[in-house]
Amino acid sequence: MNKDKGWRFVIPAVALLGLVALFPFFFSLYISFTESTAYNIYRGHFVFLKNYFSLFRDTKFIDSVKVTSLYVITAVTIEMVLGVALALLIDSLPIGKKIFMILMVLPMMVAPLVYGIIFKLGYNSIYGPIPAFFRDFFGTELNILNRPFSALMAVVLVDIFQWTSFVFLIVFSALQTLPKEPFEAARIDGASYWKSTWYITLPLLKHVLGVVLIFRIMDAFKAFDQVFVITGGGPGTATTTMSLYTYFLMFTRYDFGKAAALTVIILIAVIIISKWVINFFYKEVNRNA
Amino acid sequence: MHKGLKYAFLYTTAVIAVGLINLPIVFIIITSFKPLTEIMQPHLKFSFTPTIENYKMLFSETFYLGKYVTNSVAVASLSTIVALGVSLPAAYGILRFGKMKKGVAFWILSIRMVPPVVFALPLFLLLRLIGLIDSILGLTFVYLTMTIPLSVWVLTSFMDEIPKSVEEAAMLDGATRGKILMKIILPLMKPGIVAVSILNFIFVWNEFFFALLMTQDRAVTFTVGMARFITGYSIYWGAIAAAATISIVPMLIVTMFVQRYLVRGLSFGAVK
Repeated sequence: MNKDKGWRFVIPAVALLGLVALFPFFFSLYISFTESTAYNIYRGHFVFLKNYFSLFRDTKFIDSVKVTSLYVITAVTIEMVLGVALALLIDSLPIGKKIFMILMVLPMMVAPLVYGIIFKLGYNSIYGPIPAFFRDFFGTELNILNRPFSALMAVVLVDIFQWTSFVFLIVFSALQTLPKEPFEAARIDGASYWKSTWYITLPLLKHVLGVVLIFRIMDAFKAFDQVFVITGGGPGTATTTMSLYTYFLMFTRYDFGKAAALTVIILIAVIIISKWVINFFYKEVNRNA
Repeated sequence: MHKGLKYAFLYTTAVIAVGLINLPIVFIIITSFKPLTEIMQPHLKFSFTPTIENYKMLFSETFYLGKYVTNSVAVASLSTIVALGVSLPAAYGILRFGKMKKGVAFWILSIRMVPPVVFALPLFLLLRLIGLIDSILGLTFVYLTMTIPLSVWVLTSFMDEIPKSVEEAAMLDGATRGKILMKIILPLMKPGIVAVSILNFIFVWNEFFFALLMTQDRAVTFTVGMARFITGYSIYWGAIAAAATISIVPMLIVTMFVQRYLVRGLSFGAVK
């Protein structure tokens, strides 16, 4: 009787996850070393690193890395600043915090695809309300989705509209759990609201901000649904993120070997970024301790 | 006076912020009640005669709303049941047997961080190999990549709050760990199970990427159905807005009930 062996309870979950998550990864790794297409999926011959080399010579791949970086950096920076500001604002209200909090988190409950649909209509150059607004008030014609830079910023804006809520929710909830004493002490010492926010609140939130930042970077990194619906990656490759490019490699060009190589690169990038972010915040926390 | 002014300013800003952030949702809900001629016009106009034409069109033959919603609900229920079935014991194991806590728990969490596109190709090929493309079962299988990690983490954070003393009495009576889990822990976990089910449901209901790849016709889910409506030759914006509204409203209602657990679920228990 091995009564105290906890692994018995964990085995089903780990086994299933191994089947749906770990096995696919190794399968991908294998495919990335072969020349696989839709016609010889399970019998592609071994080409070792050829797919990887061809990716690094592929300007579309380089473009997708640039697009993804710009997307993630712009969207996440603005979401973090806005989300924290909104959390501080709602937290400073004497009554009605809860109602405001619920209203604030609604956007992230909606399917990203639906946000894509909303903004596809919103940006429409003929009858979309955003171009209509500029037409009525400034007499200018906007063709947001036809220009590379404005198209990218347009999909970034959708991300901001939807996911600022996430930053807000986590930071707001963390604010509710902060100890009261340091703030009272600061007030007695005559510190202003801004001073105590900057020197007490934000340092106390460092760990939480780190967690939020990791989640947002990872989620922005995998953005697909909205972009797919609004621009389909265009114009040209202006909004083709790495996720979209992988999708095109897989399901329009059927170049499975190269697509698999790209997913391996994505995975490595994700691991490096999350390690880097975690280390960064860990150091910060320790330095302040 | 000074204080009153300050609060007036704070509340005004808060109201504007809430209004702005929800503007897209309000916009699409209003659009769903507009006649098509009003939607397809190039100037801003705020007055119109509300109509339910768009909804009528949705329930007509061309858009298989019923089928899509049924598929989404079926996949959501099935993947929730499977995820709960393996995650409840896993959460118990992780919590009560300290040694494995870090390793297993971290491994499970890290799967949440992996972009779905990494799993997409191999899972697609796997499903094709075993003939489960375009089936409820196949899609359920794929969603386990996300629902199991979510369930394990949220359940662990709930179970953590059950005091050990509850079990100790039963242990003295000679009950096995399995029995304790079934007879004592399970009844206490009801709120956790409800929260996990709802979070899983939200995830599946909103998921698009996997559903797009793994389904073609029979198992098409609501989000994929909506996207098809858009990429067709003619765009029925009215009906699309109505479909979007139908997709949004259950989520808004659910939010009211689960907002307490949202933080835990969304941050995978990193923040309580």
